[in-house]
Amino acid sequence: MENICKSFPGVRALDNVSFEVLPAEVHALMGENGAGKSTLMKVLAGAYHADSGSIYLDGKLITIDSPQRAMELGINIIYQEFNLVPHLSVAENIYLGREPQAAIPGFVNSKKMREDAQEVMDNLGAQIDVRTLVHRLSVAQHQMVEIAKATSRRSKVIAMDEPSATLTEHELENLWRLIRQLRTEGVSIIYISHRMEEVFNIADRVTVLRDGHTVGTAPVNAVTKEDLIQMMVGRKLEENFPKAGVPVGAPMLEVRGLTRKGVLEDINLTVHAGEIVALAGLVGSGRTEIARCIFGADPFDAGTMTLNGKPLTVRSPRDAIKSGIGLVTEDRKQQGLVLGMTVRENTTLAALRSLTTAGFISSSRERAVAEEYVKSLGVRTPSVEQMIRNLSGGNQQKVVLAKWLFTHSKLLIMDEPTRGIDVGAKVEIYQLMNELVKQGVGILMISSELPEVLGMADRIVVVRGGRIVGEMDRADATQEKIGRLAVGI
Amino acid sequence: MTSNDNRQGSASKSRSARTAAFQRFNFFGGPPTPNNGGASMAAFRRFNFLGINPGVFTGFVVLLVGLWITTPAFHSAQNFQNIAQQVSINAIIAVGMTFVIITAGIDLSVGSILGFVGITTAMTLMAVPIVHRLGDGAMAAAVVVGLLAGALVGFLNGAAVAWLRMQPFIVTLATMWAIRGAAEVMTDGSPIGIVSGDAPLAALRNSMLQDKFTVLGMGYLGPFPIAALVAVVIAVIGHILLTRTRIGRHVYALGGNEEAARLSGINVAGIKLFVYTLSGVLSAVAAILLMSKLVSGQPTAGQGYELYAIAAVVVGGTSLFGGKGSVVGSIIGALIIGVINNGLDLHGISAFWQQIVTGAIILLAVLLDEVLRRRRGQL
Repeated sequence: MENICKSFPGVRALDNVSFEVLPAEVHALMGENGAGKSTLMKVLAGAYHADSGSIYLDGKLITIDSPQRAMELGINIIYQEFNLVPHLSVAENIYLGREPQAAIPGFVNSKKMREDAQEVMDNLGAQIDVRTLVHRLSVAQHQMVEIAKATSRRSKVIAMDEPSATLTEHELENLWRLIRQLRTEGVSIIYISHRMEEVFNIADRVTVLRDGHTVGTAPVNAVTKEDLIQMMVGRKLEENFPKAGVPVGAPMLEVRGLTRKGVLEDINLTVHAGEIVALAGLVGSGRTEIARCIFGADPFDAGTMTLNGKPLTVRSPRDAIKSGIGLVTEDRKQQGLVLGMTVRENTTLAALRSLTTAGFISSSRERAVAEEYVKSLGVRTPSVEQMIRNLSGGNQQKVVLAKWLFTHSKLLIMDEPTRGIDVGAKVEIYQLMNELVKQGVGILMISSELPEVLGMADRIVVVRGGRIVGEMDRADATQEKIGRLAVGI
Repeated sequence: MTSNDNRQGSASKSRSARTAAFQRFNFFGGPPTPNNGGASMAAFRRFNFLGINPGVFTGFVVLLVGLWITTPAFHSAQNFQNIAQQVSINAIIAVGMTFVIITAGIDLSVGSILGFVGITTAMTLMAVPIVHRLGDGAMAAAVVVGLLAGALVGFLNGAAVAWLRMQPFIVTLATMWAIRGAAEVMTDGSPIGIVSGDAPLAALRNSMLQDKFTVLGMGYLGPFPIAALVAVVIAVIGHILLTRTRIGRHVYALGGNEEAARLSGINVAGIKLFVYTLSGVLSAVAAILLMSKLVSGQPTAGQGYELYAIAAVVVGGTSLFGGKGSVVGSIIGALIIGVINNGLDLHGISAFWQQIVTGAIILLAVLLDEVLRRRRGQL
């Protein structure tokens, strides 16, 4: 790909980016959020049209004007957001659009489709029956089906956008085995990931993008982790997890016996003022469900809660917010933001009352508030009037945070607060969390990144299968201990 | 952008009203955004007045200019007053419909509310005990009863949508049938109009109905029809409510992403109750005006008006998917449909053709909205 340029309203996503992949190579693509990695891949896959620049395949100039064309040329991409049809089976999804023909023209050879699909899934070590309907699968299994889709096509180049985001270690190993196998077959793999360990593990070369430019390309064994961080961020990062030593105050939130039939069983939890409690565990262990019950987003069957000693009844998120509880949701697109609104409107959405007199919103005060938060959180946007859907994922997440900071919650539940956020911005968010606990805010943090849990939490609570299976202080915690409890060994 | 060029090219000075009408289809723009979401059309960028979609507005202007030039009968005070009279009623309903559609809902019952409220208002107005007790005050009583009747129906719709979590389409479809039926039952199928001379208080009641109450629907304040003034006031209040208040912001948020709105602490059920009740009340206002114009309570009044209202809202740029829209846009949408019908009338084209044209307008408006939205998305 040569000199690719791509702009969106107000944002120059790609600025003369050149990127080259050798045959039978695993090439990692790294960069901060908003650096342009996903955009570049979407241009390659035919989902976007580049404003200028050219693409060559095997030395020949090609034009990719649609995803079909890309697939015909042997370029396949596995997206972060899944493109599966929920009410069709795994097999049908894998072979969508290219179902094997039966003897009678127009009819599908279901048996062959099923057998072929099962073979592909077994190769991935996924242990999924391809007759299962997709909507019954977990998020991680969705990911596996997406991978199966791409690998079952004859490909020259496969691009994977954050493939490991939802996979367990075991599944990841399988994926890497598959990648290595594809490499021996001559396929090139473009691997986008934030996780350094993975890049060093699987990739041959790595290219770093920053702010829509190519910073550099190097063989993986010629660079160190610090080199890569410096390339991505452009400056040296002092500390990954700036943990402030803040004295922990009185118990703020106390949850006793929280139970939700079939989902949660007898959850007991305490969060003190000025404390960061981390809920650790595997995807699907019930941590988000705990958060939602505390926040009033879901009903529960038994249990009591007290806030600062007074009994707490929360029947809706509205009640929770009134009581001073906030929830930074896991899924920003579906739950955290109104995509059709501007940055300003999203920032103030949960606390409009403070900007309202006699029912009318003070637009000058609102703009001032929005601009203040954009500045203090370092949100990259040309103005607060920008439509939120034009911002990159990481910047959108910052706006979600801003929304909850503006509510001045006393107890902030943060569900995967740094998911999809680049290294530089992560540190900013941790520092923000420090500021909050200094002011006496209690934070309940749900995180699947163990370094983050170990780095920022005062206490760690491990959840498995809807139950609390362990609790430990910061000083006693190790990755191994948490991992064992989370998995149940 | 291309729309600019087209506008210059088709200054349809010598074409008939109908061709002018079809020409302006090119100028429908995308849905109005509460703020100018980074639109690339530099000339139009500054044109974000009142949240009016520049495409819709230019289309409307072109339409007016076209008709002005080609149809001498168009630009008379009388004709404008006619248009204002006819459009006002639909415009008022469209304001309520705008709120509902922005929440990604729909209200199919507004037409039936026109019939229902029409007869309840007429019945109250002509009710002997009331006229006996209040005299002319029966008119005020009739208005109050009418508004309450509309509010009641709206509230029922809202309750089913908000508390029973039913689909707005189904709920208001059911209400549409049921309320129309109720109106027929209550009047035994016949209109409520003037009474025969030997009925009690006949003279007083008839005069109230024919001479005094009819002022609402047919009267003028200077050159302006009262009905139009009512519509303007409602439009202004509606616009301010939607764009400047917290409730308005919550309405947009709910339509944009209901789950995110709920998790941000917005009282989703409350907002839904509000918009459907509002739609009911505004339909009641329209019903009262219509009833006063017809000088009778017709149980069949308002049939088909719900479609006009939805068409006006959609043509005005509000998205049926929710989250985007403006009151002013809907008013312009109602005006566009009304003016085109007026133009066709003046050219002697039959009412049936008018229906075809109206249908074509809606289709093309939505089509162009889609095309422009896609083009903007692919930028």
